[in-house]
Amino acid sequence: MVKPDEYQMGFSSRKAIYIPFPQAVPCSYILNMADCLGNNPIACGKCVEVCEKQAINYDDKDEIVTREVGAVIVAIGLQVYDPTEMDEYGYTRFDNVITSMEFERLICAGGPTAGHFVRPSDHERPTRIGFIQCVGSRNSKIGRPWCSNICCMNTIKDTLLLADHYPDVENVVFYQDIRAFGKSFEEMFQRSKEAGTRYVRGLPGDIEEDPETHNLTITVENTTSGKIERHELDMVVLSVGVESPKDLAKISGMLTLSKTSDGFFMESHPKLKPVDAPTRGVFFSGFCEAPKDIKDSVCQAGAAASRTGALLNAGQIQIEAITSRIDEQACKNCGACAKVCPYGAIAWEKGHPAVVIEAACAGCGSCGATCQFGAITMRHFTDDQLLAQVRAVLASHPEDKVFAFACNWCSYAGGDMAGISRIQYPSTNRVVRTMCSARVSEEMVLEAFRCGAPIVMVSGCHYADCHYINANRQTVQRVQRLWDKLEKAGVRPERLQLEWISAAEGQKFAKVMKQLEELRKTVTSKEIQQTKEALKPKPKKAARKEEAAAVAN
Amino acid sequence: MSTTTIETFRCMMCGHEYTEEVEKGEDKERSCPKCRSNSIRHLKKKKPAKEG
Amino acid sequence: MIANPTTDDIRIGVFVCDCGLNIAGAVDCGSVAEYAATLPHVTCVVRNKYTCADPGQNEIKDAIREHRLNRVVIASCTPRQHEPTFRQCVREAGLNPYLMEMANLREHCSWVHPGDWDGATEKAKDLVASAVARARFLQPQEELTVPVTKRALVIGGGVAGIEAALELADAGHKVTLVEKEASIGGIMAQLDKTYPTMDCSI
Repeated sequence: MVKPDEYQMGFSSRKAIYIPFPQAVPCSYILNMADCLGNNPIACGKCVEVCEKQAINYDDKDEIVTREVGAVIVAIGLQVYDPTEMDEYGYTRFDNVITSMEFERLICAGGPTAGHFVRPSDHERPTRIGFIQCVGSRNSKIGRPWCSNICCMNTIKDTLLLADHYPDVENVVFYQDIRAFGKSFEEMFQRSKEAGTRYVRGLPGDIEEDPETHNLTITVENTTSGKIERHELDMVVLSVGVESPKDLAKISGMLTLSKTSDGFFMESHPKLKPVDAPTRGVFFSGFCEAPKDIKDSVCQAGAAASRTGALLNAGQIQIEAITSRIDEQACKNCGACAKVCPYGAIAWEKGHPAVVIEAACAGCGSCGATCQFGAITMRHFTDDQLLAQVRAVLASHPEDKVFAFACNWCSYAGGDMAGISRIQYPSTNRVVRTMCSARVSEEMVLEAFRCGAPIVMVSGCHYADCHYINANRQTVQRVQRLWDKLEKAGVRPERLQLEWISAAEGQKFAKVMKQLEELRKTVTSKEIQQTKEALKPKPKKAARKEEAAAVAN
Repeated sequence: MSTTTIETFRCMMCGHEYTEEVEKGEDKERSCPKCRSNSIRHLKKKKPAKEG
Repeated sequence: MIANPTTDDIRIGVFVCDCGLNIAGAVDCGSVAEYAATLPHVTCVVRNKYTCADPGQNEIKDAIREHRLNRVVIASCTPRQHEPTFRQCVREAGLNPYLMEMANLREHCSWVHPGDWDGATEKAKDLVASAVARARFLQPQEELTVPVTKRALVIGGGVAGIEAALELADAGHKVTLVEKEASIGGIMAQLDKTYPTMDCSI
């Protein structure tokens, strides 16, 4: 069985049983069952025959290991950009166009060529080597606007390695900016230039190949001189960017993390809490938080370890006193709260009052917003507190205001992000914070309309980001019911809006606020008056209902 | 066995109305295909179209 | 510890922060402070240059004692940044930390409405009114303490994961490192030389 060797970027081969690379830890053979023909004597089974220690077990299976932990460091790294989609550079068409990762294997003494740098088409040593920067980075056209941080310095390093190994090489680097800002980086850049590397400011539009010689021709506008240049080269290295690993979404879901627009993990605060995840007890180390080089990864690893150590040393944490409390006397034993709790933190049996398991309650408030009988108090986010805020904000000139509920973790934080990024939007909005959008009860929304709010928005986390597992699905259902209710009462339902805004989406927060302000201008004072009338609570009927309920019990 | 139905949605921001195949019990974040707003109202089928 | 205040005797102190010019540059903090003084149950109003700095925190503590405050409203920045700071501050002055409320005049107001002096000031007043209204209903709360399992999980065995795991282990903690590939080392193990030292990656 012969397969391409992944470690050597497919430049050499391996068998179905192999050591991944000489310095591997653990340094033992692995049997790749996807490649193995199996222990069928007719098919193969040769490794079992020759292994004197009888270490080969075909029946070994994956197993689930359970460990209880008090903290998690997420260090899931990166993925290197695959330049296939940028076909203008012919990565899949031309043998002598390689990526910077493939370069690493070709120049390495432990690589497939034992460090003899040769080009793939004819195994000859190239002397004219071009490097193209920002392949898959700083390119909005392909949806990759971020700087990958490491590629400029990596190319500078590559040019120095080549110049050191082969004094006759002619390196040309095509770039848009060289970002050499780290300690001793500028010095390396100067050394590369002194070693004869030419730096041409301008990214080539395409690469052409001579089908006979397999040499490559690059046409580029040198933006410093303004002239079109043609370069014939033996080999081109695409300095590929990086992206977040594909497992990120999976880990993100498990630990309720969010990501920034570049796809990397969102930290608790971009400046002051750069290694903390918004989820308590979770920390970031390395590339998965943002592109960074080895030194910065090591620094962040130390910081993450230190933050984790502090938590483990403390041995205990305080749980914020925002959990739910049920008044047994007021509880009508309906069990609605238990049904909506995402944590199963409410124990309920038919005919008995519901009971909160405090250690399991995270304080989202789904239950509090659901209870029809006022039996649930969300500590520190009570109905009284939130209704008082609604009334206070709308006490004067409510017609000029856009009223918004925002959840602590995402949409309120998105508002903070708009602030940190100084993104401007109309000053008419008034935000009231809850822990989760699911805390916002029908009554709170209706009260805002009764107070004269022209527009009310309920906002929370995107589905994947909900910090209370899936509590915001309750929000969706509640808003759907409210739209129906408002329409029935003759109130334009579009005056109630729903938005998911992540902590990273300062832009979206500002955009939504602008849209809501436009919508507000369509609401007339006459309409507001009518709404107030239409939504007036009907005390008699409600009292009758309650009486009936009491009798039934 | 197919458990999908065709459902109608209306964007409460821009008014765009559209239909979409919905799988039973699916858990999907909705946004308006036209304006990206998340104010997507699921219009119930039973209700006859409202007049004037 | 100040006894659980009853709703009849609510004494709210409002602290309006300039945050240098971060807030005061876009919001008329003086007028916000004057407005705060007119709100029900507000016993004292203090305007600070930087409420989070020691002098600002000391003013809060002094005011709590002097005016026998049992609710504190701090009109400064986002609670997502300084709520722990100010909770600790009022705790040191003998007040239950849950009797402190914040109004976000910076991230949600001054930083996003520069050049809209009147609009931003009106909004700031509303945010303070909202916080004061809420403060009236705040109750002291006791936090639940839960033990932390003394083991860390590190997901990913590249340089960032290996380093973090070793640091923790060196500090005497139990660590479980998980890696999806057959060997640890990650992408770095595939590199030849690394900058800026030009030495081998492994």
